[in-house]
Amino acid sequence: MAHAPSDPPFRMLRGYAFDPSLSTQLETAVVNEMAFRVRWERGLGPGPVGEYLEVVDYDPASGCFYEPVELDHPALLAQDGLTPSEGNPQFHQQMAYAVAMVTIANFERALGRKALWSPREIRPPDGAKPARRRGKQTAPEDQYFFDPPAVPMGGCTKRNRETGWSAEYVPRLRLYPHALRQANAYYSPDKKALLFGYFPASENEPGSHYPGGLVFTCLSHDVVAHETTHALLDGMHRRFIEDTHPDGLAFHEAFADIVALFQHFTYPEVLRHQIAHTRGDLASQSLLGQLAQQFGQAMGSHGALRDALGRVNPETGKWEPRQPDPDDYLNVLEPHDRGAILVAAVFDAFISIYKTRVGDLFRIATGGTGVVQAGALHPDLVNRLATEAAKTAQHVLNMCIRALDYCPPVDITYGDYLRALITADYEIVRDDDRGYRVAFIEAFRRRGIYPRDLRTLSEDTLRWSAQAEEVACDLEPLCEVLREFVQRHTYLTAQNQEPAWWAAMGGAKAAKWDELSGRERIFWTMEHYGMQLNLRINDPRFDADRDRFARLTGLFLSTADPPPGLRLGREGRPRFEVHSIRPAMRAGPDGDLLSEVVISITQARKVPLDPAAFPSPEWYRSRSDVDGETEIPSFTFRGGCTLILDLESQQLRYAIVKRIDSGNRLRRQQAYRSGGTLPGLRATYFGDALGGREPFAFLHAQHEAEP
Amino acid sequence: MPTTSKTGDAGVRVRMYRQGLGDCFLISFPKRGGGRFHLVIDCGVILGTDTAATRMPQVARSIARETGGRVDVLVGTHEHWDHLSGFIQARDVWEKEIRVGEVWLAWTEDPSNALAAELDRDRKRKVAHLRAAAQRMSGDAAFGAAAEALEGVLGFFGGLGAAAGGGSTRDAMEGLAQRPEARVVYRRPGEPPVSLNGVDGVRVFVLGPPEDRTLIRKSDPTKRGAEVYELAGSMSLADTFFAGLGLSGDAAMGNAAMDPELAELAFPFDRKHRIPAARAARSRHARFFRDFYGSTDEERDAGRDAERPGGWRRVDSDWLGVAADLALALDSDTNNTSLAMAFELGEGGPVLLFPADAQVGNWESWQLLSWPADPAQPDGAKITADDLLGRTVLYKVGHHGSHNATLRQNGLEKMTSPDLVALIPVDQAMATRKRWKMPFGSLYERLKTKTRGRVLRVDQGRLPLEEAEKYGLTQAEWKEFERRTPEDTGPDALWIEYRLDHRPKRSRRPSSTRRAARGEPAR
Repeated sequence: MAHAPSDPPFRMLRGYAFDPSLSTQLETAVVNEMAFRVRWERGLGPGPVGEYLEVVDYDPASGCFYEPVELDHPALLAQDGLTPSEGNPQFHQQMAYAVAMVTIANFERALGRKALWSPREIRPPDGAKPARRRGKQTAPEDQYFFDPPAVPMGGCTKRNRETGWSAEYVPRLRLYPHALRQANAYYSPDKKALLFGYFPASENEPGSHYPGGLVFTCLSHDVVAHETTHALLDGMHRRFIEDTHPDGLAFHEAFADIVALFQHFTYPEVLRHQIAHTRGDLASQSLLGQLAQQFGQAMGSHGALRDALGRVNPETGKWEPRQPDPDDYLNVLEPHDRGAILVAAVFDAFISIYKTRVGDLFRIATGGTGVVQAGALHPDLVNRLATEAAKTAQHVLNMCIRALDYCPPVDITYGDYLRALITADYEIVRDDDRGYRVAFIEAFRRRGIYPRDLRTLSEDTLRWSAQAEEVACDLEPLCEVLREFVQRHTYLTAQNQEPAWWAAMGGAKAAKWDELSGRERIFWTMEHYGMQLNLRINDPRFDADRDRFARLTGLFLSTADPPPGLRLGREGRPRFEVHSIRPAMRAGPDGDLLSEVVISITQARKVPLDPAAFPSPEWYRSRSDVDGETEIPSFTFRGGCTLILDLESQQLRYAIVKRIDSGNRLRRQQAYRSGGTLPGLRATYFGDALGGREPFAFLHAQHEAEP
Repeated sequence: MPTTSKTGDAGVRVRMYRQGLGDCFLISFPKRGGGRFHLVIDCGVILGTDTAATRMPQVARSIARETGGRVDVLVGTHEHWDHLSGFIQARDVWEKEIRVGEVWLAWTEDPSNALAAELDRDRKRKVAHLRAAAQRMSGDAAFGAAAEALEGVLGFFGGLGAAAGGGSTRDAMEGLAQRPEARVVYRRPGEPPVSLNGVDGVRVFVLGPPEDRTLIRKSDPTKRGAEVYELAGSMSLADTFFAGLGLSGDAAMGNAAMDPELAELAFPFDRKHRIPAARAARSRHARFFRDFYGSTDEERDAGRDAERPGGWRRVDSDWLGVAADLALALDSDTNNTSLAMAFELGEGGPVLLFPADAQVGNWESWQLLSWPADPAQPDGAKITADDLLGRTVLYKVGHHGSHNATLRQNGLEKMTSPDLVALIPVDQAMATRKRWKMPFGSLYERLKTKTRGRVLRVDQGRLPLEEAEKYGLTQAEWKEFERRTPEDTGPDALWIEYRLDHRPKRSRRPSSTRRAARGEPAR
C-alpha cells in the first residue's frame, strides 16, 4: 500500500437525542434517534477506552459485568455504531461515551485548550512522617518526586516529600453506566467517575415511560451531559464543590443544566423538526421554552429545568413562560430551585438574542409585515431559523463555558458569574453589535441577580476591574516564568523532547516523557510552572513588590501579623497554592490575538465555626479541634484570586479577588455553615458520613427526597 | 429532694426525666378533693446509651415512688426506641411495681384498623431489609461510616439481640397494649376533648397522627404514594434494591425469599448479556475486566480490593447508599405516627403541648381539626389548633430539637404566649456522637428567643442567668423561673420539673392568671 488513508475527523455514533421514552411517541420518534459526531480517537479500545474516557460496565447490584463494546470493529464502523436499543448494554456504553465526548468537545472548543480532569489528591497515611532530607539544604525541586503509573494506562503520581501529599494525574474519567439501582446519577469527585443508575418507572406517574419498566439514566442525553459537565467543571475549579455559599452547589447544578440544554440546541436536526412542527408564533418564547421543558422532563431525575422556564397553566391547559421575579435570588435557597434561576436567566438571554437574529428573516419571508401566514412554514425558512437558533445556542454555550476562566477560584456567586460572562465576552468580542452582553445583563437583572457591591449596573461596571492604577507592581519576575510556560506549552504538543526539569525531579524514572500522553505532558508542565511561580513569588528578588502584589490579589503574603489560622509554611511564611495556570491564547472575530495567562492562587485558614468562639493561638496551630478542655469545631476558610496577565505588556489585566482576610465573607460562611438555612433530612442523620464524600449524590438524591 | 414551693399541691407539675437522649415525662394534676392524677408519656433512651441498663430502672422506680405505684394514664407515643426502651430495660419495675389505669396509644397501633395494619406490615418488612443492607455495607471499609449512620437511624427501632437487652420496639409496644390490668384506648385526632377522671378543668385534645394516608406519609422520599399501592407482581424501587441484596448472596433477608420470577425481573438485562463477576476471569474480556476493575469476588471478600492499585475507583458499595433514603423515609413515617396531644388547663386557659416526634405531615394535619368550644353547641364557636398553639405555655420540643420536627409557620411561630417555656429532651453529647444536629442551631436559637431564655434541657437544665438575660429575661423573672423548676439534687440528678398554677374554673380576672403564669410576683 502506498500510504494509509488519514484518520477521519469524526466517528458517527447513533444514539437518542433525548431519551428512549420519546422514541415511543409518534410526534418525537423521528427526531429522537440521531447520530452524534464524535471526535475520532485512534486506537479506541474496548469499553470504549479512549484518551478522555473509560467506560467500565460493572453492575454491582446484579453482581455482573457486561461485555465492553468495540467501536473499532468494522461492523460497527460501517453502520455508525450500534442501533439504539434499551435492551443491549453495549449500546448503553456507546451512548454514554458519545454524549460525554460531545460535551468535552464543546468545552475544548470554547476554552481553546485540552480538557483535564481534576487530579486525585492522596492524603499521607496517618502517622507517616514526612521524609525530609537532612543535612543539606534541599533545592526546591527536590521537594517532589514522581512515581510511575500504578495501573496499566494510568497516570504518574507526584509526591511532596515535605507534606506527604501526592497528586495523581487522572488520564480518563470513568463512566459506570449501571452502577446504581436508584433514580440517581452523579459525578464522584473521589473516584473521578460518573455513576449512572437505573430504576423502575413509577407506577403512579410514569410520564412517558412504560410503568414499572426500567429507566436507564445513562440513556438520557441530558443526564450524561449534565454529569460530564460536573466533572469538567471540577477539573477547572476544584473548590467549587465546597458548599460555602447558597450559590455554590447551585451554580454547579445550574451550569451543568445549561450545558446539557444548549448542547441540545446545537443539533440542527432536532431544532428543524420542532420549528417546523410548532409553527405559528415562532419568535415567541413559548416554542423554545416548551422545547426546553421537554428536555427537562426527559432528564428524569434532574428537575432543575422542569419549572425554571415556565409551566402548563392548569386552567387553560397551555404552556406559559414563567414571569421572572426580582426577589427570586433573595428568597429561593434550595440548590435545585436556586440553580433554576440561573438556568432561566441564561435561557432568557438566549431567547432575546435569537429574536434579534431572526427578526429580519421573518420580515423577508412575510413581505415586510413580520406576520406569518397560516399553514406550514416554508422549508427554507425553517432551515434558516434552525441554523440561526443553533448558531445562537453555540455562541451562548461558548460564552457560558468561556466565562469559567474569569471566575474566582473559591466561593462563587451568581453575581461573580455574570461579571465573568461579561468580561470574558468583552475580551473576545470588543464590539457587541448584536447586543449579546446587554441581553445577559437584562436577563440577570430581571431575576434580581447582580453583584451587590457595584454602584451602577452597566457593561463597564460589570467587567472585572483591571489593575488598580495606584498600585504599581513590577510583575516582570512572574511574567518571565509564565512566558517560558506559554512557549513550552504550545511547544510541547508538537515536540516530544523531554524538558530538563522532568529528569531533575526524577520523572525519568517514573515514565519516559515521550511515552506520556499529550494531555499528561500538559498537566505536568502546568504543575511544574505553577511551582516555579510559587517559588518566584517567595523569591527575594520579589521582596520589594510582594506586598503590593498581595494588595492586588487579596492574598496575605507577609510574615508579619497574619490573620488567625492562616496556614504557614517554611520560616513562618504564609502558605499559598498556585492552583492552576492556564494559557489563554485566542483569536477574536476581529483577528486580534490575545496572549494571556489565567492564574488561580488560593490560601486557606482554619477558623472556628462559631463566630462567638475565641480559640487560643494553640488551637489555630493544632490539627485537631480540641482547645484545652473544650472542643471548638472548625472549618477551612479559603480565599484567593484569579489573575489574568497580559504577557506582552506585563500588565495585570484583571484581578478577581476573594480576600483571605475578609471578615465579611468569613461571617457569612460561618452563618451559612452553621445552618442558617434548613438542611435536608439526610444532613441531620448522615452528616458527612456520605455527604462529604459524594456531594453530588446527595444533592441529587435530596432533591428527589423532599416533597 | 424536691424543694417545696408555694405552688405546692395546687399546681400542675411536669417532670422531665434526665436519662439521656430520649423522652420520659410524668405530668401530675391535682385531683378534686386531694390526691394527684399521674400521666406518663413515654419512657425511653436512644440505643447506644451506656448507662441505660442502670438509668432506666432508676427512672421507672422514681415514677413508682412518685405515683405511689399507680399511673392513671400511660402514653406510648410511637414505635421508636428512644421513647419505649424503658419498658424493656426496666420491665421488672414496670410490671411489678406499677399499676396502670389506662394505656393510650395512637390509632396507628390499633390492629383492627386496616390502614394501621398496612403501615405496620410495610414497616416491618423495610426494617428487616434495611438491617440486611446495613450489615452488607458494614463489610466495606469505604462505607463503614455510612453503615454506622444507617444503624443509627435503625437504632430507633431497637437493636439486634444483645445490644437492645432483648427486645425490639415492637415488643415494647405490644407489652404496653397487653398489660393485663390496664384498659387500652386508641386515640384518634379530632375526637371530643378527653377529660381526666377526678381532675377539674383539664381537657386533652388529640391532634395527631393524621388518619389521612397522604399526610401520614408526608416526608416520604419517593414522592410516589409508596409501595402500598403497587400492583402485584411489579417491582418498586425498594424491591429492585432489596432484590439486589438477595442476589448478592445475602441470606439475612427478613422475610420469605424473593420469587425467582421477580428476581429475574430485577435484572436490567437478559441473562445472555450478564457475565457474573465470578466468571469474569474466564470470559473473552477477562483482561479488560482485570485491568480496569479487578474482578474476583475472592479479592473483594478478602478486603483487598481497595488496596489493589486502582481499587479506589471501584463502585462495589455505592449502590447501597440508597438505603439511607429508604431508612430516612421509614424513620420519618414512624415519627409521623406520633400521638400528639395538647393539655388545656381550664377552659380557655394555658396549654401544654406534647407533639412527641411529629413531623411535617402530622403538624400540618392539625390545621384541619376543630372542636366546638361548648360541647352543648356543636355549631357554635370552635377551638382550632391555632387557638391551642396561641395559648401554649409549655412546649415539649419534638424529636429532641431536630430541625424537621418543629413546624415553623404553622407551629412555633404561632406559639405567641409571653409565658412560653420549652422542654427539650436532648443530650447533645450523645447526638454529636451520633453526628446528629440536635438541638438544631437555628431552631434552638429561635426557641430561646421565643421563650426569652426559659428552656429546660435534659443535659444542661435551665440556662444560666447571664445567658437568659441575653434573651431579655430579667433577674427577677429568672428567679421566679428557677423557683418553678426544681430539680433532683440527689446524686442521680434524675429529673427536672416545671410547675404551673392551675385554676380549674375560667378565671374572672384573666390578667392575674396571665401574670401569675408568666411568673411575675403578684403585687
